[in-house]
Amino acid sequence: MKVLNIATTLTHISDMYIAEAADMPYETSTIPREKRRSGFMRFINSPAGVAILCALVAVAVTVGIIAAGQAAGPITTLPGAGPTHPTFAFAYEIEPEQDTFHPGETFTIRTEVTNLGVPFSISGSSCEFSASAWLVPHGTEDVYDHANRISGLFAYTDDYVIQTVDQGDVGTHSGSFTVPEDATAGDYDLVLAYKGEYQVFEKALTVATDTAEDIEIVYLPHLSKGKYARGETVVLDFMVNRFDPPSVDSIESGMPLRPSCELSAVLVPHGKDAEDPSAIAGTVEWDFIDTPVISALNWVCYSATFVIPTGAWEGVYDLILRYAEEGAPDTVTEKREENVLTVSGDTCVFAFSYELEPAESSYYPGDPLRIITHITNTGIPFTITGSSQAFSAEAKLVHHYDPETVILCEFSYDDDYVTQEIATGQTGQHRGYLTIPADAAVGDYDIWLYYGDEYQVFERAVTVKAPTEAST
Amino acid sequence: MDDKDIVALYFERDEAAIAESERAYGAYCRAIAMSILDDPSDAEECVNDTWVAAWGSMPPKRPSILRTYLGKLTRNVAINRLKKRRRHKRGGEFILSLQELSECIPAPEEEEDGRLRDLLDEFLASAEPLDRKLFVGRHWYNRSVSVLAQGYGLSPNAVSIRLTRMRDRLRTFLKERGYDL
Repeated sequence: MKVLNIATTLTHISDMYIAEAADMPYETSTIPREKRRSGFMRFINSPAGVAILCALVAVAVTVGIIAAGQAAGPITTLPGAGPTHPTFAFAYEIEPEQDTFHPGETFTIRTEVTNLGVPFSISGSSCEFSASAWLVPHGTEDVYDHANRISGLFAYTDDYVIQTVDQGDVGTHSGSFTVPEDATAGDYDLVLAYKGEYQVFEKALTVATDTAEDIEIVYLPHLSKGKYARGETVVLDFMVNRFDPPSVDSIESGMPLRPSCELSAVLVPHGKDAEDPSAIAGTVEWDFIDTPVISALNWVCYSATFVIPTGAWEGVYDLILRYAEEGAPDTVTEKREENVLTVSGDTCVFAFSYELEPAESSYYPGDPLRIITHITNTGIPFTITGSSQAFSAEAKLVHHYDPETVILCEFSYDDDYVTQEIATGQTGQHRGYLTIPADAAVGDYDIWLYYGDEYQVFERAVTVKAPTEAST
Repeated sequence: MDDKDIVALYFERDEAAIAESERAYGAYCRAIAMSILDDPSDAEECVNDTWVAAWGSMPPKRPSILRTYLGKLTRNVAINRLKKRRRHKRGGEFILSLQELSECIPAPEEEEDGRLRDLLDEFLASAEPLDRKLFVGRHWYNRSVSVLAQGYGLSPNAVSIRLTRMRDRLRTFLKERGYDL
């Protein structure tokens, strides 16, 4: 693009003219200065705010501590390289709030610098009054330590302004940091700097390179009948909390990459090992990663599909999950979940019923509605693992003439996972909540009660009327 | 630490030179990079490249005004990055400024035209100081007309008129010296 050569040529005009035009005599932001400040900054810029801030800082200095978000160690103030302005106070926050990060992991440092000295003027971007930050290995004497330091990516606006920084003004900024792949493990000190003054926050975070201990497997209990017949297909879900640093590809695509690991799932008769001849091997598939790609510690969800063989052993089965890094079979992490399901020649049968609160036959958009579901095991006893409310039906409203129109009912479950024996004749009850949406289609709705693969439909159990009918 | 000391650090091959440059002129260079690239992460990489370029060029270069020297490096790096970008990603105040300039300056065949640069200096030397500042502000720092208007206490219309007249004069100036426009 030849026209860009004009710009290149113009770049090299005399320094004198470039310097002459660098600064402009007046404030240039189109947004009034007061409006550019947060409420906190407006307060802190007021006489009362300055007085309070100075008093607070004086107290903090007296006790030797300047509030610093989550400073992990004692704060050391080192002499600056000839400060051009009086004292500044520095503070920071790290997000996410964790002490340890791994290579490839990204985090944000929010810096805060407060002018405790005399007012002064600066020119530059609107972020000019902001502390820069970097991390150096703990104990490094050279706070710059260019060879080993971890630098962040601070974005500056192009809003070129001349600012007056008054006493008590607070400049904030935030930068994105990524722990380099070759970072040395250990504690790191955080250095915040502004205009020749800087402060070292010791052991602000730790870089860890050992990831094996981070592997954790969690079985997701099935809220279903837990009893299966031969020939049936069973899908069980589980999650692995694994270290999965985001790669360049994943960052560019915005999608996490498929995890590189080897997983196996086996159903074994209760108490037996994975090599037992009655074991049933499953097919494991990667499901999804539930955390954003910027996080290196991901809960990766998997599903294991089992087809119960025709000659399967009848009884209670345990689930054995095995995880190994790809190409490293020696790093196996194993998880055993007992009493996951029962295989039986018989299938369970359930009886469903419900109650409505308020007990009306017609409701209007915006009306709250509670559905109390009842389910009774009319089949043989079986074992399930889940919350204490795992033996309970769920419910939804489906428009009688338009099955696509569904109003889901919200059920909350407590998180105390237990293994329960469901006896014949045992009844489970649960209370679900919904609000008829404001734009709900009017007409008759069926109530569906379901549990696992079994369900019962109660036709035209609820009618939704138009708001005008309510007013008349 | 003043410019002379920072330049001395470069000559001593002391890596603190980069930290000091960042501290003194990081925001200045970022503002220039942002005005061209219009993308914070690109601008940040551009500034990092500027430090690399400064490290590679000093010595032997010993700039008299470090600020503008680093600013020029930033501008060069940013323009080179822009050239590599896909067309649809280009935009912003820089392209607008360049379009205005292309009406009065011929696009050089080479990346840099030494004679044209000298003529630009000559032209700017002959201009009134305010007009010159507006011209450099618009076409070197890529400031918008409204920003310039506020910065110099003028109405946007007055700035536009002054800039248009400057470009007209520049076109005539270059035509008289043999440029085909």
